[in-house]
This record gives sequence, C-alpha cells and structure tokens, in this order.
Amino acid sequence: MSGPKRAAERAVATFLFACVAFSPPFLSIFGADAFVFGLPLLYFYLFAAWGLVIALVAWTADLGSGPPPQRISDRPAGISDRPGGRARAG
Amino acid sequence: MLASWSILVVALAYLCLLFAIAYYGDKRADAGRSIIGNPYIYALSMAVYCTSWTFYGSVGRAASGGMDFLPIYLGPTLTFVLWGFLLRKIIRICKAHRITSIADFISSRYGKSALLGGMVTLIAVLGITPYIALQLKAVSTSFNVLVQYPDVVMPPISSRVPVLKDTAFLVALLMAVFAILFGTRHIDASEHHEGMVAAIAFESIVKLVAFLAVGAYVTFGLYDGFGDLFATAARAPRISALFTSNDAGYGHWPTLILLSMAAIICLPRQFQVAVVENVNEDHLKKAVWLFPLYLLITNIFVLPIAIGGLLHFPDGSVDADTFVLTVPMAERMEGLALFAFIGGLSAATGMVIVAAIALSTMISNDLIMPVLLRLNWRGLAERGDLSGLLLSIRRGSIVMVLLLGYAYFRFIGESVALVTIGLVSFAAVAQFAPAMIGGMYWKGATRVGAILGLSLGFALWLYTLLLPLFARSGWLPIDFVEGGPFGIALLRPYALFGLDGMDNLSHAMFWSLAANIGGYVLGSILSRPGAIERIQGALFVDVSSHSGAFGGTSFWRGSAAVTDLKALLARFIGAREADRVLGDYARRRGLNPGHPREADAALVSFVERLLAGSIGAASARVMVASVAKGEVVGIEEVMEILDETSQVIEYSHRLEQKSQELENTTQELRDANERLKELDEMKDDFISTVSHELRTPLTSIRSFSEILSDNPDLDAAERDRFLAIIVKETERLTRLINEILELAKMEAGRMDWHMIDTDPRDVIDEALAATSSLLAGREISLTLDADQWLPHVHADRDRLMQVIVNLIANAVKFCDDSRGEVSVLAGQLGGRFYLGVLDNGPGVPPDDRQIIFEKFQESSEPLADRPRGTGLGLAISRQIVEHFGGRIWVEDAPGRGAAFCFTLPISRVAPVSAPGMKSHEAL
Repeated sequence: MSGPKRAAERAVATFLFACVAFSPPFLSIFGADAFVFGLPLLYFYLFAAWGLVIALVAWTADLGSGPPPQRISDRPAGISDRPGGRARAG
Repeated sequence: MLASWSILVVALAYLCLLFAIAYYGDKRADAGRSIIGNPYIYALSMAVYCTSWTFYGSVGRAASGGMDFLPIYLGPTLTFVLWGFLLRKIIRICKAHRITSIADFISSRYGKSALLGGMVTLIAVLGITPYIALQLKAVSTSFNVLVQYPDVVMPPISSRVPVLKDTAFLVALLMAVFAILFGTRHIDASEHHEGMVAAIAFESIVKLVAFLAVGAYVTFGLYDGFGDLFATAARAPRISALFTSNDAGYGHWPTLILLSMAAIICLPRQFQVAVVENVNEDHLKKAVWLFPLYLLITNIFVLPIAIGGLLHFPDGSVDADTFVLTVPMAERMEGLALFAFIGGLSAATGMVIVAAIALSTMISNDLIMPVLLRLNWRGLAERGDLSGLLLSIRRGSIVMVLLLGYAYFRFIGESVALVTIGLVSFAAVAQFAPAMIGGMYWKGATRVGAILGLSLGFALWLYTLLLPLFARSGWLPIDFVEGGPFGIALLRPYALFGLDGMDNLSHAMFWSLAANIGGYVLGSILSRPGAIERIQGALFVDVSSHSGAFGGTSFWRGSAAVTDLKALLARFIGAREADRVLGDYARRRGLNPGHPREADAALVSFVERLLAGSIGAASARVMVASVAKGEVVGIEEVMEILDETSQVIEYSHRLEQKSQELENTTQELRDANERLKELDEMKDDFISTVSHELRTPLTSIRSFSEILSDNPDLDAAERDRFLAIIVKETERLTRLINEILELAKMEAGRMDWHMIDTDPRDVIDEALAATSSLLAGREISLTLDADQWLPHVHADRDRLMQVIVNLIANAVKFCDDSRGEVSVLAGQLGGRFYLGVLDNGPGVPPDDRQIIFEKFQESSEPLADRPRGTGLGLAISRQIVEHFGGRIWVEDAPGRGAAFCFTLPISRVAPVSAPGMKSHEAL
C-alpha cells in the first residue's frame, strides 16, 4: 500500500475517533464528579483525548512524506497482510 | 502606578516593534532571503485564529459555561486531521489559479462569476464586522480597566462617551493605520505579505507567553498548583459545577465543533494566512499538528484563570471577560497586568490587521473593481497607471471595515459577551463551506446552485441570528423575537417553523446550512453549467492531475498584441514589474522578449492569471477581454479542450493498454489450454498404446504358460521351445518397461546427464562392437566411413552410444534380408558433427518421416515378418539428441533404403580435416 493511501486511511480513522471522543454521550460520561491526578475528570479527559488526536495527526502527516525505510524492516509480519504482493511474486 | 500615557507609550512601542519586524520581513523577502520560509512561522501565523475572543472571551465563557469554551478549538484540530483532503487541495488550487481570497476562490470556481465574488465579499464583510467589533471592544475595555489600576472598576458604557473621546474609536483608527501600513504599501504581483506574516507569528508568541504567564501565576502563584486550585474550587458548589455536570448538556458541542471546523478554512483571515501566504506546500505537514498543539497549550489555563477569577471576585461585580487582566491587577502585579494587556493587544491587532487586509483585497477585487469596470470600464481602461487607484481602494476599504466594526461595537456589541459576538461571525462564514468544499469535489456544481445556496444560507443567518441580536440591543422591537414578525409565531427567529428547544446557535446553523446545502444541490442539479464553469470545475476538482502551471489550458482562442497586454499589466502592477514578469515568461519559454509580436493563447491566459492576483478573477477576465481579439471558447471547444488536456485521454489510453494486456493474457491462456488438451490427448494415447504394447508379450507369456501347465506331458523339446519364447517375451517386456521409464524420466527432465567432452570415434567404435552380435547368422555387411579427424562433442557418452546403437539396430532390422548393407557415415557438416546410418531396406515414406520419432510409432509399411521393436528407440534417440542440442531426422539413402542422421554441436574443432583422408573399415 502506498504512503499517501495509508495516510488517507489513518486520517479518516483519526477523524472518526475524534468525532466519537468529542461526542455528547462521551462527554456526559466523563462529566462525572471525579478527579484524576487532582484534575477534574472532564478537564483531564478532554485534554488527553485532544493531545492524542494531535499526536495521531503528527504520526499521519509524517507518513504523507513517504514511508521511512525502517518501517519496512521492523515489521516483517507486514508481509502477511499483503497477499496481493505475494501472489504476484509467486 | 500605571498612567494612561505610560500604557499608551508601551502599546505604541509594541506596535512599532511589530511594524519593524514586518518591515524587516519585507526587506528580506525582496532580497530573496525569506524569513518565513519554515513550517514554524507558518504554524504561528495560523495562530491568528486566537484573537481577543481566546485571550479574554474564553475565560469569560469558562466562568459561566465550564468547558464550553473548548469546542471552538477542537474544530480546527478536526479539520486539520483531514488536511490531506481539504487544506492541501485548496492550496494547490489557489497556487495554480493565483487566487488571493475566498471570494476569488468561489467566484473562480463557478465560472469567474463577478456576482458570486461580490456576494461572498458582502457576506464576509457583514459577517466579520461583529468579529472586528469584538476586538475593538476587547482592546478598549482592557485599556479602560487597566487605566484604573490599582482599582478594579468596570469602565463606563461607550455609547455615553462622545465618539472622538471613545477609546474604541481611537483604537479602530490606530489599527486601520497599521493595517494600511502592513498590507497595502504596494501592489505585489505575487500578493504575498511576508512582513505581515512575520509580525503575526511574533504576535502569536507574545499572546501565548502572556496568557501562559497569567495562567501560571494564577495556578502556581495564587494557588499551589492545579490540585490545590481545583480542590479549592470544588468546595464552592457554584464553581465546581463548571467542571462536573453540565446543566445545558453537550448538545451544542457538535454545532460549535462544526462551526469552528468550517471557520478555520472559511474565515477570510485564516484563508489569507493558511492558503494565500503559504510559501511551500510541505510546510503543511508540520503545521497541521503544530497549530493544534498551539491551541491546546493556549487552552490549558483557561479554566484555571476562570476559576481563579470567580474565587477572587465572588460577588460578580467584575466582568469575567476581563479576568485575565483583573486578577493580576487585584493582586497588585503591575508588570504582569501590563504584559497581559500587551498579550490581548497582540491577539486583537493580529486578527484586525489580517482580517482587514483580507477583506480589503476582497472588497477591491471582487466588489469595487468589477463594478467600476462594468459601469465605465472604457474610461477606466484608458487611464494610465491604475495601481495607485487600486491601492487607494484597498486603503479606503480598510478604513471602512474598521469604522463598520466600530459602529457595530458602539450600537450593538456593548451588551453582548465576546464569545457570542464571535460565534455570529463564525456562523456567517460557515455559509461559504458548501460552495467551497462542494466545488472542490463535485464537478457538476453550478453557479446557479452556489448563488442560490449562499443567498438562502445568508438570509437565514441574518434572520435567525443577526436580526434577533439587533432586537436584543434595542435596535429592533423585541416583539419581533418573542412573538415573531407581525405576531406570526411560526416565524419567530429563535424558533423558526416551530423548531423549539434548541440553543439559538444550533437552531440558526440547522436552518441556514440546511437551506444553503439544499439550495446548492438543487440549483446545481436543475441548472446547466456554462463553458467556463465546466472548465473551472474540472480544473478545481482534478487539481492534482493538472498539477503544474496549467500551461496548456486556455480559454482564449485568437490572440492579442503583446504590447497591449504589457500596457494592461503595467496599469495594475506597474511598468517595471510588468516588464520583468513578461521577460521572465519569455525566457522560460525560450522566446525573444524584445520582439513585438502577437501573443498566443497561452500568454493571454498567463496575463489573465497574473492580473487575477491583483484585481480578482472576474475583473481580470473583463480586462483581458478588452485587449484580446477573438472570443471565449464555446461548449464544443470546451469539450475538445477537456478531451485533449484533461486526464480523459490519459485514462482511456491506460484503459486501452490494460485491455490489450488482458487480451494478450487471454490469448496466452487459451494457447496454454490448447496445449494442455493436446497433452492430455497424447497422454491418453500413450497410456492406451502402452497398455496395448504390454498386453502383447503378456498375452503370449500367458498362453504359453497355460499350455505348459495344462499339458504336463508335453515333450521336452516342445517345452524348451515354449520356455524360450516365454523368456524372450519377458525380456522384451522388461526392456519395454525400462524404456518407458527412461523416456518418462527424460521428458520430465529428471534424467542424470553426465555431459563431458567426448571423442565420437571411440563411441562409434564401441557401438559397432556392441551391435556386431546382431549380425550373427545374417547376410548383412556393416561398414564405417568416417573422417580421419572427427570433431569432439559435448555429450553424455553412454547416451550417445545408446543413440548410435539404436540407429544401427534399427537399420539392421530393416535392411534387405538377402544382401543386407548397413553403413555408418561420420564427419563434419556445416560446422556440426554429423552421423548417418544407412540401410538398403524399404525406406521410410515421406509421410511417416515425422511420426516415426514419436512414441510407439513405426513405419506404416507392412513389417512382414520383421522382429518387432519396442517402438520407443527412436523416440528416446530423439530426446537424447535434442538434449545435446542436436537434430535428428530421416531421409532417403542414395539408391535404396533409409538414412537416419543426426548432427550435434561441436565442442572442440578437430585438428585437421583433410578431404579425402578417410578411413575405411569393414567389419
């Protein structure tokens, strides 16, 4: 799979995640009267989810410039999810 | 002690510093050493999104609505998640078409329509005015609050102060001056404002640091960190409600997120910094996460400051919108308060300057110039240098925009919270989103659809959001809001057609966007796009496949004089610049720049795009039309252009290739299938033949065995004769099976070959010796006629001998019974080793010469009483010879009989091959 296509898929996945994470039902769940590390739960949750989305954007944008070479070597298992490539080779 | 003059001096000094940065940035850009050419400055310039709304208003919102301030910053993050689909495409389109504003974008997409450009501009101006008012309100309020230091007193209402003494008015004028200085010093062909971008980026740093400083002071100075602050707040039930259960619910969050998602690309100032001022598309990759990160950092301290303010001023006497300023003031932190004021000033000036420049570009390019050109464009076109006029229009527009903002502030904005004002603006610019995004992905969208959608959306925005605000400020009867116009309850602006129970903003967004999108889609479907609309639609939607400068795409047929075009350009961008640009163009195309000639369609289009950068797409079109002969292409030609230039031809070409490949593959498959069928048939034949061949000896073995077993009293001689037959048939059977196995092995390629350099003479001698026994008892002469020097061959010795023995045995078998003659010839023929075995038998008819080398095929000539072979000898011989790279065949022997011959490639040439020197041997 090419880098841009992979990036597009990641972008859409990130977008959907964000839509769910910031949806009213989720916010109601985290609007509970509770504290995490001395921070109100909702406050903590919103910034954590937001930070995660930003990290995902950075991760995806990085891919848009083409897959870095080490990505291929550090996941040999990746071959198994590409039957098309193997069929052609065989 | 903070005197008003000292605050003024600091503020002015700060603005001068900004101007110095902008000036330096412009100078560096002119020198070709840009200081904004990196993703960090780019991301910081996008942070012009954070205005006074963020700096003061978010805290105010948080003080009453808890985390409600946040969705406005989540939206841009969500849009940037999809940057690869949206932002990058917008940038590519704008770069290709020299688009300088959102009005230009929409007008350009829908056939360079001047009407659409004007509509967008009008909506933008009306929509952004409250936003500018918000900044003016924030600056004047913060100034008036700070002036009271050390007392914390809310300033008086502006409308009771004469205009000329009103701080907000002075602020508006000051900002107008700065916007003019920043943005309209000269008309640039590229329409980049590098200096302004540098200043905006600097401001983004200042406002961030100032806000963080106040936040850190409240959190860590007044309280002992976040834990302490929230713990203290949790003890006050009214405050703790802000960050726990939200009474209003979260139903309006999607509305706010959606609004801000649209705003981050539709706001004219965001369009300006993110798209128009983008110098390198690659900067996006970093900026798309750096900018949201900036927003996140900015927002961390919003709630702490709000809580700090509420705890500090529990009686509600202090406007929460001023907490950023008033909390440090109350704590006698003079320096921090001043710094906060500068931060707020940064946020406001950044927004006002960029918005004013963006709006003034739109007003001059898409509103005033088209009107001027249409009303009296002949007179205008005859005038000399128009760049001065253009600059004056833009400067006038800036002043007008700021005065409009001030008017809004003075008459309406006074009583409304900052965030509420801002959201009205967001809702207005969100109306651009359908036409904009739809135009990028839907080729069928038309001008009529865009106009219909925009006007419906705008009308509903006006009715459900702006007019009620007027009414609440006392400029319209409040009955209008509460009872509906003329008392028609169904038309109440906050509950249109009985849609009740939603917050005002969501209600307005629902109706305006529904009408907008509905009108857009319906209008597009029911109308037919014109020629230029179609071309532009294709160019916008397929911008990536038309990457580059669209050099080949031209709407103009016919031509214009180069001098006319140059004169036209000079009027708008100055004579020197025009000379330079046209010279560059000529050099790039390898033309002689000095030679006056007719400009071709490509140059006419180039000039049009260039002009579009200065006066907008619609006006540029009118101006170029005034000097270009010929006319705009018609629909047939458009389709022709599309056929020629767009990917259609490319696609069809590729399709053709693919189908050709497919055809080839199919043919190959078909051939392979035929071959398989043949092989299958052969296999069947082979098996039936083998069975037949095996059955013959088996039958005779069985019958003789039965005779022997049924007749135990058979005499000895008879018994021995039968037994001899059984033994002979068994041997034949064994040989047959061995040969079948051998052949199968060869055909399957599993044979072990010992290929070595071989002297054929030794092999022939051995073969002759081995076959001599066959001659016993028969009248057959066997002779060898070989050259003295035979060339060596590369072969498996034993197999080669097998071939020769086979051929000799074959010859012996078929030669004349009474006077049998078999001769072996060996020598060199055409650079190859040659061997022939001749007999004087009946010969092989021409029809059989091919098939006798097949398995179990023998000559169709009646064999009479000749001993039968296995029928595999020749097939095996052929396999062997072909494996050695040789050829085997049969021909007529001279005189009578058959000649079986084969040739083999030579591995080493024989030393000498003197003709006539032959050895004759008789055996």
